[in-house]
Amino acid sequence: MAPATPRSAAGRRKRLHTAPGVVAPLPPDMLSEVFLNLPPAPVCRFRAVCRSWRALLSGRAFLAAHAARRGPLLLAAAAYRRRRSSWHIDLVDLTGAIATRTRLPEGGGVRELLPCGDLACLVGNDGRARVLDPAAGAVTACRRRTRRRRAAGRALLRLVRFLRYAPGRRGGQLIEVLTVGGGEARWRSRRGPPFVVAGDADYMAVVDGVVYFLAVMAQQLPFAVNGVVSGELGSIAAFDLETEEWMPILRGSLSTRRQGGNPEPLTMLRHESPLLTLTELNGFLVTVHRDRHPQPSMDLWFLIDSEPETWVKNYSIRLDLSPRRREFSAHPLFVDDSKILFWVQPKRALMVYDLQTGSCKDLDHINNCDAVGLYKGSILSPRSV
Amino acid sequence: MASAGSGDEKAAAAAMITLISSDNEKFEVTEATATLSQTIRHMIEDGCTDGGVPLPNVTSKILARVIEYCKKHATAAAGEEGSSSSFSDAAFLEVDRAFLEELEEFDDAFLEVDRATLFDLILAANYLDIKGLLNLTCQKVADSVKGKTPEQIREMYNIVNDLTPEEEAEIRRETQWAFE
Repeated sequence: MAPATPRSAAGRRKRLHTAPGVVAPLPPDMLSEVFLNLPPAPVCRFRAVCRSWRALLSGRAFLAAHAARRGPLLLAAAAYRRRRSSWHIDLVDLTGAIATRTRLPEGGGVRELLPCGDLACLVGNDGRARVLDPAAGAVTACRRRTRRRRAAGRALLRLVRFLRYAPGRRGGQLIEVLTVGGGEARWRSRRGPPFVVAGDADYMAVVDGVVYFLAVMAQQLPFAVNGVVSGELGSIAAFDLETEEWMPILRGSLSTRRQGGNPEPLTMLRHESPLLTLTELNGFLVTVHRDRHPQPSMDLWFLIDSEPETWVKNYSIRLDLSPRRREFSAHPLFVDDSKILFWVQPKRALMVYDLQTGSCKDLDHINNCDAVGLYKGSILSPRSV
Repeated sequence: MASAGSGDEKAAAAAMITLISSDNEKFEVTEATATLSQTIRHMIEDGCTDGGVPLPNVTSKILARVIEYCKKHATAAAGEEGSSSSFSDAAFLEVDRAFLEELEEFDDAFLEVDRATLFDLILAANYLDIKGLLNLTCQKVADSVKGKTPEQIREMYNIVNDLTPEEEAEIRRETQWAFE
């Protein structure tokens, strides 16, 4: 009687490029199994061992499996405990294992952290913007005006654009686009949004090269241009980073929710405990609705189609935030089959919501960061410099 | 365990399977222990375990260790099923935690073997499709190499560097951060 077909046939015990040693080496599929348990740095480092290891550790299938096994990577900014003026930003996984650490120039600090591709934009406590390349451990300062002189450090060849809003001189709003390229990073002003937007990170999201702003400034809404209402509470303005033009306004998920007979929960939006915020999850624009009554809950509405504008409530969870524990707002950063990862403010804690059991747990080993963002790049991919 | 069908389950738990190593040594194990291996589970489901299960890829030395692992973890799995159904009070959770700690200690001690044995355990775990054991042993190997330089790895595993100096320099340049 023959045994059931094993997953690895004995014949596959192929020798890698080795001199005769005492221990027979592992076959490639088992080596790959071992490599999946490695942190990011040795994965990259061991490509320099020999050709077969390089092939194995650079393969697309391996990299995808490694990313799936490791889970999301976060950018976490924190000041050093001893010297509050010195900051660092870690690229860290959910177990707290640090892949890279970048020290920031003295005195800058981090007020906001906006990840974008392999890079992230940092807005310091001094109001200055810097571009972070976590894989290279490099920080480039952004200048207000174009300079002929090339900025110090490594040239960032990719063109990356960030956007922030700025109050205009005459009370209106402007937005500023940050362009990084050719070793230079600079802000340029562009026409303001079609209605007054809040500049906080909780009310803006970047999806596929488009920046979205949620209309929450209740006192300014509804907003009309030439007698036509262009924005009301929950509307979403969209700015295309490629063309640098404003796109048609989205109605937002609030209108779908109203049609569903949901009571209007939005008594006050501009509050330290916001009831409606905007985020990006798995490449989708997502609105986050919180309710306090009849019980504390959170709904995540995904924009699954823009023509016609279609919002679907993909998650509806019971989320008990405790103001006593300084849990005023929970911003979703990441979602997969089993969990949602939240950034809880002003507690400054990462919290995991288990979708199966409905229970929450703080990630104690990554707490006490001052700013957190989900890293969108692929740190393991070889990059040309 | 549930009351309905418990007779059948008890009978199944008591059923013994004979495993035969490559050097023809016979091991008697309970079905609960043997079915931690998906490979053997499928063979039992197909009804082809009469007269013993030959495992031509596993030596008696390694098979004995694998069975030791399966016995311990089969009890753990049974304990978990029993606890999650009706008990959930703090005392019971405490017992659970103590048991998990004991299991962790067992795993740590279990991995105190030389590299050749560890590799053979990986191959056996893969052949027998025992996920827990495969993860455990692979993690152990990964932990033992993760802090090493490429040079140290080559020395450890007698690997000949067949990369040209240019290729090696390029690999280092591509992900400079990993070499610092």
